[in-house]
Amino acid sequence: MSNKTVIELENINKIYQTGKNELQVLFDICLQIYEGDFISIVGPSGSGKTTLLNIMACLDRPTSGRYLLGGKNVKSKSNDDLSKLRNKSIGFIFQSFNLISRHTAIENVQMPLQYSDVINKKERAQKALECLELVDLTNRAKHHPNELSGGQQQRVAIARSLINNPDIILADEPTGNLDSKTSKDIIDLLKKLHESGKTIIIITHDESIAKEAMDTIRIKDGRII
Amino acid sequence: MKISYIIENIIEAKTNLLRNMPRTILTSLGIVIGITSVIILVAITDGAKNIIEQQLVSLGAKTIVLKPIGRTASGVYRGQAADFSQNELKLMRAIPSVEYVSPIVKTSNQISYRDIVQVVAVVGSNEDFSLINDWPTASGAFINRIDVQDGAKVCVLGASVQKRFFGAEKSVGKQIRIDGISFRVIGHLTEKGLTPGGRDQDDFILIPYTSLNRWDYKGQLYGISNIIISTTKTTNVDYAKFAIRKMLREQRGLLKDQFDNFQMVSYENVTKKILQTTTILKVLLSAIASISLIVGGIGIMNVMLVSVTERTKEIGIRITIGATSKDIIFQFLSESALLSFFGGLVGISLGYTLSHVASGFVGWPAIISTKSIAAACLFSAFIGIFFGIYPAYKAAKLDPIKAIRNEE
Repeated sequence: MSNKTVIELENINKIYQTGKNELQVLFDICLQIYEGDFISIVGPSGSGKTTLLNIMACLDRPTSGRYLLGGKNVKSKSNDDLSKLRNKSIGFIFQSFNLISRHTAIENVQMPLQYSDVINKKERAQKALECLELVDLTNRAKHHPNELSGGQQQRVAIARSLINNPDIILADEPTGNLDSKTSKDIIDLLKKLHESGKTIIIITHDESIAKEAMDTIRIKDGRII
Repeated sequence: MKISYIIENIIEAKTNLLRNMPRTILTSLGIVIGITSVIILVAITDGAKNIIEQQLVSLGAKTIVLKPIGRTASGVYRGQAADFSQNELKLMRAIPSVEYVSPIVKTSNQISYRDIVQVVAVVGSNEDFSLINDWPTASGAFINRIDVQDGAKVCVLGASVQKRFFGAEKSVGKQIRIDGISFRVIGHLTEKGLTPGGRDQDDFILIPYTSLNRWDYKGQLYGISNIIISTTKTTNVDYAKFAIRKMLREQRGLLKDQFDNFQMVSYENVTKKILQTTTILKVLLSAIASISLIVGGIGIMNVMLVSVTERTKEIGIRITIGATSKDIIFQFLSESALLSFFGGLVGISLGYTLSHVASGFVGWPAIISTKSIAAACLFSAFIGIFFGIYPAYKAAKLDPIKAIRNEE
């Protein structure tokens, strides 16, 4: 793997303020992820792994510490700038797929392009079809999410995460809602993406999934162990 | 902002609104009712204004009466004043906002037909007389330009003269004598009745003013002592007066310190006041109708807020995959603007139809101007945007982490 860091966390702390009570969920997290890595983050629920993922995804801001994404500090960026950053450099895969139910598969896949510079309709459809082909779902392009199985929906979500050709793919319990057979398909797909050069970070509490990754980071009570 | 971006948002908004038709219709109902009532009220008051204006015109709102008058520098009137010349008459006609120019020369003569002999008022004028006074003939024709050019021996009878001399008998084509000279009757006028002062307006004979001097010459020519002018519009009276005054002063070689030796009478101030009143009425009525538009707007805001709540998860997904606050705001604004615009369109067609129904009730024609339709379109879209801002802003400010966990 290359020596270029894509994600660099230095002494990240996250404290939630609820009324007068403070709840610290992350303690001095230091982490470096290199281009082309395939990392799994495991930990029991409530360990802070989702908070960590949200910070890496630029959806949340750390209370203190430094976060460099692709070598750039994201602290000073506005929320809209972070939206644009996510749009270009990060692909998202969620446990509950998070497709928009009233849009078809291909429309869901195209959606990130709506917020990018690609304005040509033909170009958008073409790209979306290519991504659907990667997940072997071109024959379901016109189907709505409720007409697809869980595994198919997750594959649509993966196609969506790839549409802007991001460097990093963040997967939050991508197999949590799937049976073991389908889970394996999804993991194989992620592996294939890893082989094509993507940096993949997967959050899970399933040890069998975690061991598929190159490296596993364990987190407990907000600390890396 | 790119056009394609706007179009894309509007198409998406349209699809969303069509998906939930009953809600879309109920939501836009407030705007429909608001726009409908504004259109009807404006159409009815515009119609009323038009009728009032017509009545004012028939009462002389467009007319200017010119009289010769002499005045010394001290303000004392002199008896002798110059009549208007043929040339001045011609120049008046050339002024752009002047529509008709009619000279009035009044005299009275002995009229005889068969055994009836009476002294009757004779008015010398031209073809514009009938148009300025909105006074058509009941039968036959009015004098025309050629009659005036030639000083033809033709006459038009007032309704009272027609009755006294001919009764029910046909007068057109008959010869009557004015001071012994034979004139052919070419028509008689419709009846105008008495003035408020009790004078019979129909008791006169009208002939070309050019004929007057030809047959009644007794060592003294009849000058044009009065001119009635009508302008193209009631609002042109001011300008026409200015232009006529300038022309007459130039023609007459009046110096700066000399007063006018003519006088103009018009009613534009009265007209302005009355039309102003109808405008005030219109503004007042549409302001009342606009209240329902505001209520309609609040309805839209309400439904948009519900829509934002329903689509919290979708908004979360969109922000996560790269939508900026501008994108989200624009998405929801397009929807509320389209909703309101749709209501506006329905309101316009409904208002258009119902205006005619309402005009049947009030008894005067409704006037629907393109201006009021355009204003209604713009105003309804504005309401949609104005009342859509808060829900759209609320949507854009959602925290994507929380929003995405929201279950649909």
